[in-house]
Amino acid sequence: MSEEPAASRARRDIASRQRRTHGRLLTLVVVFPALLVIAGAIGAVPLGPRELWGLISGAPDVPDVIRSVFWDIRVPRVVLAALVGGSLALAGAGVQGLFRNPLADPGIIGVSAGAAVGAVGCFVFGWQGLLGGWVLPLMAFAGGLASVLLLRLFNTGFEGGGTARLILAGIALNAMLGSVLGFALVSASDNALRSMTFWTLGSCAGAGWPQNVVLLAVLVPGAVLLGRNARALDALQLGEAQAAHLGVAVHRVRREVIIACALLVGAATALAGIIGFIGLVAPHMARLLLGGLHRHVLGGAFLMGGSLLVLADLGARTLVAPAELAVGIITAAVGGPFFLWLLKRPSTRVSL
Amino acid sequence: MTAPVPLLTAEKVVLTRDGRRILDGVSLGVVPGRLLAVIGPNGAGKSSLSSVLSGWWQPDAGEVFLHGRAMADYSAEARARLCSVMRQESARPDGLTVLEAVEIGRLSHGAGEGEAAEIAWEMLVRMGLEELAARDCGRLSGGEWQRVAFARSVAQIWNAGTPGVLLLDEPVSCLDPAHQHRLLGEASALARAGHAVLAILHDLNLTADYADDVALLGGGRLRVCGPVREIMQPEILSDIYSCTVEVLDDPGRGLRALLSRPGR
Repeated sequence: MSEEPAASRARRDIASRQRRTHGRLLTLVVVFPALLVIAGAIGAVPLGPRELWGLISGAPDVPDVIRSVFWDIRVPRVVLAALVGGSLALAGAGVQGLFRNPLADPGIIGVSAGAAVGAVGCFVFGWQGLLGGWVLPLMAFAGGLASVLLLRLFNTGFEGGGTARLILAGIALNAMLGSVLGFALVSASDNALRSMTFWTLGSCAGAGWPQNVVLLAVLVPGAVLLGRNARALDALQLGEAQAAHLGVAVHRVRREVIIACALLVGAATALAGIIGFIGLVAPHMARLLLGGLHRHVLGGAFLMGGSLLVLADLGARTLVAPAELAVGIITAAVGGPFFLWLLKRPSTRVSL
Repeated sequence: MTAPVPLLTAEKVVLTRDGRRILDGVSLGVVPGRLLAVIGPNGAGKSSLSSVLSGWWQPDAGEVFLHGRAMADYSAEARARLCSVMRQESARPDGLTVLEAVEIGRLSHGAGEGEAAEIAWEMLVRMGLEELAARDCGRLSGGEWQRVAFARSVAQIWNAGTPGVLLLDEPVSCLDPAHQHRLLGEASALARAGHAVLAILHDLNLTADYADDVALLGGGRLRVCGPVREIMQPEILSDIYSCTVEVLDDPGRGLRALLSRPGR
């Protein structure tokens, strides 16, 4: 079969595009663990390559103090930052795909505001120290899920009405939860106020292995739920009706994606407070780098979001050492200008 | 000769929206091997009929059957394997290439990626779109996107083993005349190959050129339905469109409809 030259050029373009996408994905896969190691080396006790190697390979000549600093404090924190960033970015990719809206932030379904109400309640009642400190994340997680259930009530199930209604209901819900938060802040004691403010700006300082295990236990099912809907999310970019005609069970997909995002954002927020911008920016970067197929967008967003938050957290704990910055300050300070630059690029198309 | 059994049938379908009857007892069948054109003035209920026939909307009364089974009994996936729908408008998937967008047509077949890509490529070649294969869908013109959407719809019922149903809602509304003929020629070829094709059209001459049967919709009712030569009558068309339509039957050009300016 002979093809026109233009056709063979198109075939070549497609092949090179695929190679480029796979190459970039591979780069992210390599950069991600490398960043974890580098971030693990930097801190109040800097570690050189030889010490790092000794720690990772388990060589006996490393002092116990260093070993403890590395494995009990620094690595859990870096891993938490990576998992939290990855979860937020995955959820962002999910809601942006579902709502076909580049402005969608995982917060749009009310999870982070609900989690904030749960956490603030905890501070107001002074419960944050109970149960070995687990009451705070539990209440935040419960608050996040409760707000999504509330959204479901408003919207007579996620199935009824269109996504536009879901977005508007989310905005209303966020406003209502915001007023609850405002009331709590105004009536709180100075001490509680400080804790609340710090929490709502996000931090990975509470990291430990148990936290990482808990987050991973939520992250894995959430990621699987999103991953199995990757193809359906591709089809949804054609609109809900057309996706249904292509064989997508639109209602089931919408339910599963929202549940997955609620789990991911709820768990990440419960353990690290409210961290803005990662969930918005990381999926965009993934799409720009890897194209629009959701199996690439989801994977890329996870790696990108994880890497970004590891870097932001590195800044949070080193920029004003020995004090700490809230990581949300850094993600917003760096993410904001970056997002503006992204929007300004002539090749960036934004449609609402 | 017995008439072939329709693959898709509507039986006394009634659709009410905001207290207004949009479809009022419409019955019709889409037969394999034939292209059925649905025509009628604006607001006649053509797109609503297509939404009901495709299973997207439940009728308030009456029923739709696909391959003899009630539409509501199908899962979205099973329905998509038998019935492909090209909606009048669909959002553009920014960031997907044309080839990737056409591959989505194979979603319900669950086949390997390689096979989906092969079929998608074949569709692009058929539609003369292979040069655009690597182009981002967000950067296509309206007409190019319409042809891509058609290619995707055909990919959906391609090589499915059984004759499929193809529902096309104004598939040529953005196309120049040459591409209108090319697309409807392909649709007609699919009908020849044994598929059941329904196309909502506005252009009476394209209808005359490509339709085997015509269903004339007006005010939510099926006014008349039959072979194209029986329906393309000046009295019938003038009445339904409320303007003077002449029909010429030129041996060289086939049936031609001539529309006069209203009021003449």
